[in-house]
Amino acid sequence: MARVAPILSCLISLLIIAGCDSGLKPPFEDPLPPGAIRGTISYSGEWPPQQSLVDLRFVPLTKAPQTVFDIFADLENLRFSGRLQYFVQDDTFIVEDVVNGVYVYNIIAQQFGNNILADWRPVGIYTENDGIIVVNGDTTTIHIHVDFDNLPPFPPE
Amino acid sequence: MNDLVKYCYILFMIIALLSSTHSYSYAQDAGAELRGVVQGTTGETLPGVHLFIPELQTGTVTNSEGVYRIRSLPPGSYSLRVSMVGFQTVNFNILLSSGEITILDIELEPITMQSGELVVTASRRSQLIGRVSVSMNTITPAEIQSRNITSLDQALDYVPGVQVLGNSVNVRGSSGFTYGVGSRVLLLVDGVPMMGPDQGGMDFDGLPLTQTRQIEVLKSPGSALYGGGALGGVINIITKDFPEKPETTLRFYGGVYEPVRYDVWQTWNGASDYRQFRGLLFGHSQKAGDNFGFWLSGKLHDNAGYLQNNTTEGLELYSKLGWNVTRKIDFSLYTSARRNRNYQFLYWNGLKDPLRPGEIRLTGDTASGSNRGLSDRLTILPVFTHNISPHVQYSLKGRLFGVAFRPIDRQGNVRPSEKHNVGVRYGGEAQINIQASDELIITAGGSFDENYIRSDVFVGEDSLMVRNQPEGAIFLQAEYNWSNRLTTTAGFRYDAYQVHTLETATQFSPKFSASYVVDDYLTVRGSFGRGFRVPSVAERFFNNADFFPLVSNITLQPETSTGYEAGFTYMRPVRSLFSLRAELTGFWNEYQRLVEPTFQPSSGSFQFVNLTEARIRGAEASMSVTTLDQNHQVTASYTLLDPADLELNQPLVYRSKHLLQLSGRSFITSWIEAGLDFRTASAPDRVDTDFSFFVSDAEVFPAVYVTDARIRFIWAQPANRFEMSATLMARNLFNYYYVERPAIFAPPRNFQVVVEMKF
Repeated sequence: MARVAPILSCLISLLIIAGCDSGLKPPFEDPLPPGAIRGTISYSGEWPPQQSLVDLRFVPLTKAPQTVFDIFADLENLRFSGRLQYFVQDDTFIVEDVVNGVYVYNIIAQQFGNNILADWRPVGIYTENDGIIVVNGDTTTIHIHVDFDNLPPFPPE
Repeated sequence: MNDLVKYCYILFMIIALLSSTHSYSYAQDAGAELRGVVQGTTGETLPGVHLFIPELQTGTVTNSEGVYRIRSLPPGSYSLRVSMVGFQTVNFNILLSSGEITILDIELEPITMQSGELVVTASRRSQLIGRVSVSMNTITPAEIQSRNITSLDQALDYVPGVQVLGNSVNVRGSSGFTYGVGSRVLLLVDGVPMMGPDQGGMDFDGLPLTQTRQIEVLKSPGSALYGGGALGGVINIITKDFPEKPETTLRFYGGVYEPVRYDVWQTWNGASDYRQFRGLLFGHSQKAGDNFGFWLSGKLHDNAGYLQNNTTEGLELYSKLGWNVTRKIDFSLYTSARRNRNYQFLYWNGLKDPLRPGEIRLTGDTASGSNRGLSDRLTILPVFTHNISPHVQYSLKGRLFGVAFRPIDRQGNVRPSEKHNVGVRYGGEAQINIQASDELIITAGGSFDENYIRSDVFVGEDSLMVRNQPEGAIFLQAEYNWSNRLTTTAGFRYDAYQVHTLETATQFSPKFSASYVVDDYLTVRGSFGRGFRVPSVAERFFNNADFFPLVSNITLQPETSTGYEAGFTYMRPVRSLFSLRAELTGFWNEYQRLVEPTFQPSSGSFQFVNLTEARIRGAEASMSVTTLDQNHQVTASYTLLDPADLELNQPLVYRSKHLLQLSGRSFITSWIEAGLDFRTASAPDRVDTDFSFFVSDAEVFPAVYVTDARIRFIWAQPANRFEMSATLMARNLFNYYYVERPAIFAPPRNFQVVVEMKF
């Protein structure tokens, strides 16, 4: 019995561990309502050719991406505006259902090829106030200027 | 020089035997002859038993059928000593008369109950498990019945070192998770490969589990005997033969899945219900006359599933016919047919909504996380066996294995000619076993298979809809018993296969193993072997984004493995009360050109690529203690894995470092049996994060802690050959939530009742 006791105690301990840990749980839901980002855009410089304007959107990100692929790293929380107009001088956008948080890299992103995950580049970047802070469901208003003759570097310096 | 003469003689014998099947002479001389069969106490014939007559200083060894024969003996009275490691030695007094044949059938009693266990997978012929020089485990019909195992994955859950991730079987971490295509473990039925011709994956249904004599799991590369696919190991389903008296089995089961405990997950109609599953398994086997036998079996089942869009219903039918054409010639025919109507859940809608399928919107059209289809399978396996003499046997095996998958709409109608797959594997195999001397056993043969696939989704970059992938091989193995204690086995297999039209590749797979019986209880062993796997048609040609963005790669090369292992097996009785079996094994497997699904940013899709060099090393310890009356048993096993991606210098994805399995069963009284099983696997050190770009929370992969419990009530009337039992089972007793593979929630606690009748 003395030899069996350690084995039995290990078995019982494991069963208790198995019984106490319930495994997967629903993720923590932020009790605060999501916010929104509203903005205006002004354009200068020569627009890229029509065939390279596959898509154009405002995208707020919580981290500065090092590759295009990083933009899609948190797909569940990724939010973006509707498609923006081409060949205009000014435009507006709104992004709703934005999760509360600090957005440090906020860009007008152009899709220039058919690969929806790879063919993107920033053409304008919001540089005021070290980013956008969305709290308590507030709506934040910003302005971005896009200069097609002087595009921001990517990846960011 | 003597060795050279001996080997030349053996070679000559092989050539002579292969060229003529009637070269053995049965001429009787004037001396006496002694012959018979040696069996264990449960009726199985025993190969490799030593029979020795001290007065004459002569003897022999039983062949693979347990048959022995000593000729040209001088008449007289002698003693006969019969010995076998793991069995009690017995002595007989024999009286031999001139010109007469004396038949003496012998029964040996094992020292422990495990010593008499026979396996065939390790060397393509019957061997005692204690003499096998590679790691092997077996699953018995009693375990299949006791746990109500209705599919292969359930049977593998409690095999040491084996982990099932969805539809991928990991033997010591070999496979990781491969999205159900291209298994690195080979599935055989009676030695015949049963991997899908299209996806190269393993189908857990469609196996005759009520008519299974044994499931054998070989846990090291087995390509030297079985060819492609046996990169990490082999699973062999050995079907039953035919009993002397008719046997009928009926098993009904029904159960429910408990609703999940979190209300926020009950996001679809039915999620708060107790979802049902049920089935009927049946089987009948008997001999018909002296020369015929047959069995029939089947399974009718349906499962409402605990996930949305995850239902299964199906019918499986199996049969095996046996005919002893003459005393030396046998013919058998195994057939199976299966139809499943599945609504298959592919990936979840994230951890916030894990019971509903998700959607992928990044691929242009929306891809769906569930798939509805009709899956058909047909298998025909004829086997012809000829025992030319007690020492020479050859067999011819044919095989036809067809699969078809057709999508169906919501009304259950097959969609017209859209995205269908049809795959057929057909071929044959010839094998000869020669006991060239008491010490030397030779196994040789060749095989040819053709894979034919017609598919609307395996189109590939070359736009072909019909694929052929022919394969041919020769193999040779020699087992030499240097003494009653030391056995060595050396062999190779040479495979040729077509990977592209007009392009043929070859693979040489050698093996070497040795076992040494230290004493009656302890056997040490070591082995080396190579394995390889030709990528399946699905891995090379799949081009589809209906469910997941995947593109073809027609340049995919075969992956290979080299495995080494050493270990010991210790079997002995303890204080005349228990039978102890303990094993310890160290293993080191290296993989080259490992094929992994990898995200390709350039195409925005996944693609199977030859990714990396890898090494999986580790150790495995297992122990079982059984009372001598076999009424109580405790087993435990632990596997430690060190799976490393040698190019990235990181752990391989989806491999658990620690695996632990504990089981206990006991006949509390003669009519109540209780059992408890526990298994745990640590969370993988690394998972594929690319998948979570498409599917929310696909990187979530917690540790596994699963406990199953059962109690069985038995009512037996041995005089009438009638037994009835009722079993209550709780699987995942503590309702632990985990994933069975990335982005698929594993079954919550479920209860079932099983009623079985045997008569």
